[in-house]
Amino acid sequence: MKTFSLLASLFLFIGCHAITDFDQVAYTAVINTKVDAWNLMAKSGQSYSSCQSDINDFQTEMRKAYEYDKNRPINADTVKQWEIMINPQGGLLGTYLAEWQQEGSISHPRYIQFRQKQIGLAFDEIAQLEQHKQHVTQ
Amino acid sequence: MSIQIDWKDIETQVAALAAQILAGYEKEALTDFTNYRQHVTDEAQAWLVALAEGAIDAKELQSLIAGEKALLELHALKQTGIAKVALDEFEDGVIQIMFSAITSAVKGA
Repeated sequence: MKTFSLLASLFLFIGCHAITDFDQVAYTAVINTKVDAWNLMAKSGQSYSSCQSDINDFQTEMRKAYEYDKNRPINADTVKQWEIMINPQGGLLGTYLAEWQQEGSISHPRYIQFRQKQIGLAFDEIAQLEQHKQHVTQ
Repeated sequence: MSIQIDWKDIETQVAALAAQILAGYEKEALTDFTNYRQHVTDEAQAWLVALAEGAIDAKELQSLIAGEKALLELHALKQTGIAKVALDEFEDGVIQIMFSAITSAVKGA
């Protein structure tokens, strides 16, 4: 009887993970969004209004990636990462797009390059966390 | 009929597993932090040079600093997530050890 209780307890523990498993779709979405963000930022020397269509398309794709992660169970850390990235007051891509909109265009090429690098690294943080989730499934 | 579970052996295996997972996590976290520290130092220096050259303005420098703070937040969230992965690995390992020990004990009874 005691053995059965022990086995039952073990089975109850199985599946009670602290973080979700790796997801290829989510990982690919982060990488695609990173590349698209880089390309869009490269255009930010041009006027915001002339790139409006590209910006809208990009924001839709980024929103899809965020919503996908938001609807995965026990995925809070990744969701928080996305929220900082998207938020216009978050300091990263959301902020950069807001600056572009307010200024009309980003006049300093060096600033664009610095921000491309910084925001690229921020996407890497999201991608690296997703990669580490592979350990759970092994 | 009674079964004999070797609790001492389970304890030894669980301790070894914890040490192994913790050491791996600690090493990776330290390497990651060292790389990040180097990145911040290099970037801050490049921004100040660009500011002095007039290649960026003070407002843009402020945005870069705010961006770096946000990047640090994302980095911390990644570390939190990785720690959770390590916790899951430990939990899975403990289950495996316990399951093997109980199975052996039942077979030996």
